[in-house]
Amino acid sequence: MVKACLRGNPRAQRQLYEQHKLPLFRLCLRYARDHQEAEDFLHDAFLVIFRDLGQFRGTGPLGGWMRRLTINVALQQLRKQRRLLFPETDLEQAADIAAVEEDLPPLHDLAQVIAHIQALPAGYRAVFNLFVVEGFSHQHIADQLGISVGASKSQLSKAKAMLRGILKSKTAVS
Amino acid sequence: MEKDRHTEDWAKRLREWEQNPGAEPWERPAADLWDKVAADLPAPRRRRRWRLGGLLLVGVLGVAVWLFLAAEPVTNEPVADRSVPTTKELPVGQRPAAVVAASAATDLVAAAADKNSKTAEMPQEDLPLTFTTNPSSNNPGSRPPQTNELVIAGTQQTPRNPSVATTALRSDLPDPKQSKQENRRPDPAPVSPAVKADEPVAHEPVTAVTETLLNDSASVNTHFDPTGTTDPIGIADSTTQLLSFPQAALTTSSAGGEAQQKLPAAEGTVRRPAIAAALPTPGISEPHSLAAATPGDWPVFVPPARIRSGWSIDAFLMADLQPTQQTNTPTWRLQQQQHRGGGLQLNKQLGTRLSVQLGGQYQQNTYRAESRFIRLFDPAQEQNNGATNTSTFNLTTALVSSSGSSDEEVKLDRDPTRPIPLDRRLLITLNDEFKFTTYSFPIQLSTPLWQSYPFRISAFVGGELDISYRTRVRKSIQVSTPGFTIRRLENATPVSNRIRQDNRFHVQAGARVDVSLAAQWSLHLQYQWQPAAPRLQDQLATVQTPLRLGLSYAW
Repeated sequence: MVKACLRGNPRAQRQLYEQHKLPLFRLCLRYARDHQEAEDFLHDAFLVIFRDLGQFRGTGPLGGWMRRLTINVALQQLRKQRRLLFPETDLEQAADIAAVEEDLPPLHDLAQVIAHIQALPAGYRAVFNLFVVEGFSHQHIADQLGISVGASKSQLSKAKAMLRGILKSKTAVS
Repeated sequence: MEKDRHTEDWAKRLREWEQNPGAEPWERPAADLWDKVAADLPAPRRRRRWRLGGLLLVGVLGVAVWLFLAAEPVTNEPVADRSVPTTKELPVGQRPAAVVAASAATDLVAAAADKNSKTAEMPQEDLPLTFTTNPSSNNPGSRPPQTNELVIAGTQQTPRNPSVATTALRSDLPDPKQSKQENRRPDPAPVSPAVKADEPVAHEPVTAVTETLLNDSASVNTHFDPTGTTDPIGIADSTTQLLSFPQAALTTSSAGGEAQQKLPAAEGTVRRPAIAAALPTPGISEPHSLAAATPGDWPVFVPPARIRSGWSIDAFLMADLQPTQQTNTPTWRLQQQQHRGGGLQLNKQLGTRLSVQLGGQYQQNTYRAESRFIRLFDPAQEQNNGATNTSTFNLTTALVSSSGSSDEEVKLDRDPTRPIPLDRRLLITLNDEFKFTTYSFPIQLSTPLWQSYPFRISAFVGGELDISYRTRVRKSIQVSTPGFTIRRLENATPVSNRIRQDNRFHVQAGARVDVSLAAQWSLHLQYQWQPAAPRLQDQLATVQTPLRLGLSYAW
């Protein structure tokens, strides 16, 4: 199928899209602020995937390669739109933040959680996803986003705090 | 920072959710998202179109081959066989030189057949003219040509129409092995009893024989075996009635082992123009006879590509010589980036002055287009979308070719907290790359203008059938007004890659220089003029002047 896609076979391209659209769209939903933006990310991600498919060496699963590419596209789009704004945080402040770090509340309703993640500011959202879900280190995130490690920690802490606040208020209301 | 228990749980649940096959509507992308992705993907390789193009090309070539074969066929038949009647059809006094020569050969046969003929007793002093075959090829030890001898520098060639006369005259010579050969050969052809060897008419045609042989080395049998131990190729066929070339003159005296024949006087009586008229057409066939018999003032360019079957094939690359084309308006800028192409062409020589070419070629023109749109900002038309406000504008982008334009929709986001005044000018810039791929099938007629080996200049006219396709690649979208970002741009109407062409056929003309490189290879440079394919916007030139460089192979 990959070879057929490389030849530009429309059927193979469609098949690849159908196979991977759901997981990649869910990934995009976590990085986007809404459904529409997630579609934009997915759209651009598939353009990049078909463009760079020749670089896929087949050493790992194709899904993993496509996933990494989609994350990169989402971050690139956020950067392009200048929505990834990270205030500088010094290491001392980051250490303080880490000290008061609290655990996330238990996850019950996935749809609700996704909506809350989407409600986070773009910077918080990106760092939260990269650290919590993708499992990247702060150093890796800092390199990826071009920010300091302290800023990454700070963004994560604030993201978690915001999520906790939202979920607590929702729980209280319910 | 270590992940705590709930964070781990979040990560696990979210990753599992990604791979979950079932999906609620909110987890699914829009159904038409694939159409948008597919519309923005680069055009796939047109394999099916290639296949169709290949079939079309094969069909056109087939028709061309059929047409060529229906034309007058190239033949290796000797000129005498085609144009000269036998001696029986005309009275002797009205015969052309070649016929007289043939008649002379027949006469000699008659004379040889008659054992009581006086011809056999003719003294050697009466035969001042001596012929010899190529001494280096057949008689390495023979003496060089003497005074009053004309050496025919013929190349080794199998006689195309063996003559009975040669055999007959050989039988006239005292050869101890003759009787042995006679047993293997049929008797000489019957000759007219009216012709007698001692009659005056028997001598005069021999002069004509001499003249013919002086100018047509192709008719010389260089396979002659002076010892008579072997049978020269085809000589044994003595039943032939048609004597195309009087090889009877090539009988020998076995003395000295030299292939030579002494014939009655004919010194200084060479009449080349008469023979030249009887020579085969240059360039069609008979390359050896042409090379050997052509005087110095004849056209000497006989390109190897033309001396065989008349077929040749060209492989070439082409590039447009026009200066870079561009057009500028306040909202539109178009610039040609490159023009390139290549192809194959089959050539068939239809005589010395005309040849026909048929081929298939590929061209690609690349243009870079920049479209600028100015829209006025209206907050009342904005749509609030949570953290941003979105404005939608319709753009009509030109498609460069006659296929018209494409309607597109662009959405711009802005931060609602940042005030932007009404009617603020928004400058949106689209950068596109257009590639026009054209498959052409030219057919041309060409004629040589000047030729001197190894060069040949020819001119041609013809026509060309074009099929063009367009590919648009969007390079970038920019909004240069601060505070706005591009959210999405999409085609409101699908864009076809097929270009509408009102006139697929157009004429072309040009000139070409061939340089012969080797026996079957030549290099050519061709400059041609033709209307542009496809015809683009009015601002661009409608004429192409491609220069073509190629290699030809002839067979």
